[in-house]
Amino acid sequence: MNKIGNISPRQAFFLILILLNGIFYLMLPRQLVNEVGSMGWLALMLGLGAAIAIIGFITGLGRRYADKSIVQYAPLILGKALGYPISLVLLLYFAMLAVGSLRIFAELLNSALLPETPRLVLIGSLVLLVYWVVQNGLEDIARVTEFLSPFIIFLLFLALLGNIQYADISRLKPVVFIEWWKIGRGILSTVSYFGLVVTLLMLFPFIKPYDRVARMGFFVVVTGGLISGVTYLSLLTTFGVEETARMAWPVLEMVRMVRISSFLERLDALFLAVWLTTAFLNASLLSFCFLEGTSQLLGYSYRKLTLPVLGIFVVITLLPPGLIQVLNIYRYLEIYGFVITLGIPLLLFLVSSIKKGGKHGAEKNR
Amino acid sequence: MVQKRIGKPLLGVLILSFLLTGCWNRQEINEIGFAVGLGVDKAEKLYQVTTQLALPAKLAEGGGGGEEPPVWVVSGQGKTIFEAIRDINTRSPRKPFWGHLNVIVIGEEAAKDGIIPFIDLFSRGHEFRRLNQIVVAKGKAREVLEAQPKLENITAVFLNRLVENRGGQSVAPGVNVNDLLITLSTPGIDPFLPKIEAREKEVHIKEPPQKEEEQKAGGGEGKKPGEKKEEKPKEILELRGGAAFRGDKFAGWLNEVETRGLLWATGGVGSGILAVESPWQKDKFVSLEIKGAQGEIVPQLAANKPGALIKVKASLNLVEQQDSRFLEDPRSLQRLQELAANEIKGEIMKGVEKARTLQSDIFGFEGKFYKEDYNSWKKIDWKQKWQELQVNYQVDTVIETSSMAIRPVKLSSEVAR
Repeated sequence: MNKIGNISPRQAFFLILILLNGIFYLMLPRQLVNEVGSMGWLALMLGLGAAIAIIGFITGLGRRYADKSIVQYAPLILGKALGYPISLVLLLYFAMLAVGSLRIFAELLNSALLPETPRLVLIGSLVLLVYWVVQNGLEDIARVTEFLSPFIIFLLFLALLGNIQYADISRLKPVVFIEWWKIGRGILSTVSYFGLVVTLLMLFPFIKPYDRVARMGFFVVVTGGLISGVTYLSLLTTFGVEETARMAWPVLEMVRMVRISSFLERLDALFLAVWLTTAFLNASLLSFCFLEGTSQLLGYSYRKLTLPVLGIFVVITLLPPGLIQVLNIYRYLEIYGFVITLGIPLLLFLVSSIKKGGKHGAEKNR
Repeated sequence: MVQKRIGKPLLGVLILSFLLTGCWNRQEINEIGFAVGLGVDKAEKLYQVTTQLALPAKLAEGGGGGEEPPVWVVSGQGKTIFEAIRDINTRSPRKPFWGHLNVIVIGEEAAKDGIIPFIDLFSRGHEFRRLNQIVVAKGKAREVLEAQPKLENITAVFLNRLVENRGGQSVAPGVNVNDLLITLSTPGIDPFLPKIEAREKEVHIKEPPQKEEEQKAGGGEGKKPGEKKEEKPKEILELRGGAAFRGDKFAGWLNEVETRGLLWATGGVGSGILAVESPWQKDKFVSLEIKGAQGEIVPQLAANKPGALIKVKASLNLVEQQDSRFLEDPRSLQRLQELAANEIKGEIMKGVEKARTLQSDIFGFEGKFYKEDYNSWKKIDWKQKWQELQVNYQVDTVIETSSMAIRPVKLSSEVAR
């Protein structure tokens, strides 16, 4: 096996947390407001519940097939004919997300700070950095994340705190109960969003000791959900439903409002640095998941694959012409992502539970 | 191995290339003009955007002695705001940078034609901030931006300070772009923006004092007919009263009493002075300083007709007394409190009446139903709003302190008695 290195549950915690409150976190509130208006908290709560269930399935599977990732145990559970295609779908999903995180980040910089800089330059330079850290393996990604996360979370916290001065609870009113199907749509979005925890399907075998993964998973989903929920409330109380739905980058707008007395304001540049960092961390983690999975599928080291794969990523990233097209594509990921994020772990877990037999204990050969 | 050897140089290149991406969109400080104020006027279907560009060299000179103001007022014209801004660029070698904008002034004509068409840019452009204050100018916005008030070198900064310190009088609201946009998109409430007016002299001064300052005229044309001597920039900028809108269109002005009436109801009163006529001596007044106030509009439904209860609680501070009544007696104090409450109620009523005549729901009576009683809001026929609306008042005041004195000043004859 490659020297990829093992990571601690705490490192895994930060990897997932930064994934949840990283670059995709910029997209969630607007999507939710568009779909469910001020009832988004309900969708968030239910999505959170689903995510906890996903964590349950993943750790359940992980315990049965310790030392194996989904790519390795899916064929064991479902047979090769179904196992490989499902692994492939999941890997492509990781690839899509990696590409998405790069492009969302490029769009953010493009609309907020560097309107004339070609996206190729923004994405290209970021991808070079991603290449370097992915080549060094998961352990390095985890260490960088572990080091930077506290700063990122602290700054987000600061932004939320700085925005309290504009909050007006009456902007949440009227609380009108909207149609169930709309809330259902919102839940799909949040399940896809929190479903980012499916990266654990790939990461599980690298986390040592694995018996703490379930607790870590629970806490990371709750923490991430809490931050997203507070952000959502903060946005609605600051901007109201209509305005939030109008914005391209609600979270960035929120940060732009922060003003501490009259001497500390326009923190947007600082936060663009934050999102630059999270884009780098997210893209690295997702690329790693894709690459490691692919190499497990093909059976040789991913290091040779990294450069061509990242090159393809860059090309795909640059395909949509602008933000509006990116948002439209992202919508599909949000609406149908749940098939992958909830469907795959659920299916595997159910089938393996039915098949169970006596052999799951034998896999614990650590 | 190859990996190891190229690793470190590669890292260096990566980090350097990252730093360089910022240079693509670099804006050298000596190539941009800091736009500190912006005004929107409308004339013959075209928008005229006036901006105040700060002149850094003049500012650096150290204010004070400069003869010329450290800002340059320049305007452009176009079908849209952005077109007008680009029109400015044909006359300004420096591209305006909007990140340091202080205030947006809307001219009366532009306001009458509706603010929706041009408010979009101020929340879309990435240099504009949603915290920019908005004021409506009586007359042209350009006149306001051309005025040269004292104390501050830059008119826009002056305006911004004026808006920020409005709480001392509470005769004008404070509204930023974000507030305005939310009001516009909320059903049942109309925008209410502060009114700014450029004057040649203070309102109450009848004969203007001669001022021999050879200022370079910016072209402030005295809009009002009066004793027009020479073209020189106006010196007085006054933030007083407000502009009521119907939808996004200007509906009419509120004077300062009506404005404060509205602010009482919406909880916008910070401080201010309430001069109450003394019940004990005619033509003598007592000054009550407003220390704090809470206002609330409660929607009330009576026989399927909309109504509202305006609840106000104010704590006051006795700061000046013209009559000579001892107020140690609780009943006297009580009396004064009731009078103050009446005074406040009168102000609110004037505000409500003005809103009724303008048919502009600046109080947000309908909006209260929308937010607090959504089901009734849907049932009520809001076309009849202004005929049917019943407003009740409940004002409580408490006089908390009387500053550094307990008793008023008295003449010897009175003391002896």
